[in-house]
Amino acid sequence: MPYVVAGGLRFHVQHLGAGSPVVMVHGLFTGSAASWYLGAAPVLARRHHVVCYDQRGHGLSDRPERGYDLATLAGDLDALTGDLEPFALVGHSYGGVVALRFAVDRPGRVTRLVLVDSFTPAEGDPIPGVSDATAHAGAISWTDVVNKAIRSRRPRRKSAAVALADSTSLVADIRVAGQITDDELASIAVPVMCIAGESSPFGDAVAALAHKLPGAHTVTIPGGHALTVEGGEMLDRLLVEYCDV
Amino acid sequence: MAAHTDTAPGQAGEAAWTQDAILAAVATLVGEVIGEDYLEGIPITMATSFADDIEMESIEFVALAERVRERFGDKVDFIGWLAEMELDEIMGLTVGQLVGMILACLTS
Repeated sequence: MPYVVAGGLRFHVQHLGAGSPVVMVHGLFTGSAASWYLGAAPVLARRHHVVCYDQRGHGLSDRPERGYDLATLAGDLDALTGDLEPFALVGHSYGGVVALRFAVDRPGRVTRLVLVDSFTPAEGDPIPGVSDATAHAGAISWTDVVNKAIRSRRPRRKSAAVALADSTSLVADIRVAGQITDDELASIAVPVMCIAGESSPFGDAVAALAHKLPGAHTVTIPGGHALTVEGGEMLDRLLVEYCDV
Repeated sequence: MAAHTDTAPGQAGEAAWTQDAILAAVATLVGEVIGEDYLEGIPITMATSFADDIEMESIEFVALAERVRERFGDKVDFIGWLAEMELDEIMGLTVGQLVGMILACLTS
């Protein structure tokens, strides 16, 4: 299996295809490299070198107890993509926030951004409805949609998400406000496409983030928050068109 | 792939892969990915469903894809195959569909 050690942790990293690079970051808790690998990544890989990885605590990567603040998650992304030429960067949910932090910290390394139903905390406030987000993600997780794993004899996926929430600092870390400021968001100079799920419970927060990004345009497509599951061909096509320039 | 003890047609370039040989190889890879303990009592046949029978998780399917790529080489275009399918199709796959794709790639 393709593993890379960074910062003392082992990360699962997948490379698909060849061409100009596209890096894809999944959302928290029930997300993993599979969110992209079994969705848009193979389609993009027809013309791009696609990199998708399991963020710390997720999928087949190590799950440390601490270190889930935004700067550290963006640092992981930096460490795992250091040998790439400047790339298009795609993030789902909080993976999009990680992408934004990276774009602020490493402005020369990102050519364009795609945020898929992503939102940031309002200034001074915790992330809106983080517990709701967790519950929502759990309610429409892969396992629930297709695997019925919650009543599985092998409920490992569910327990991994629960372990993340219960046994690591992730929830506390992402609740810390001010990890990316409005001024920093306004400084992002590359084009940004925001893709919103028309029935996402985070619609207002998604729109508010897009409003803070000077280079952003928003496309709304059918589906809820879990667009890597629900976005289907429409999401694939948007990503291909945006990354193929 | 020294860990494999099953026969490996095609590796020396002489024997051709058969459906049965590919099925046996895929069953070995599935066992490696999800753990033999979890497979106990579940026969891996052409009709076995990854989702319903093995209850394979999405990240495990990625791990299986990786092992198929390692085991069968670049001739098997797993990524191109995935690109043609929607998510619900991927999760509805049977072992037989995967075996059939591998066989088609190796004999084309």
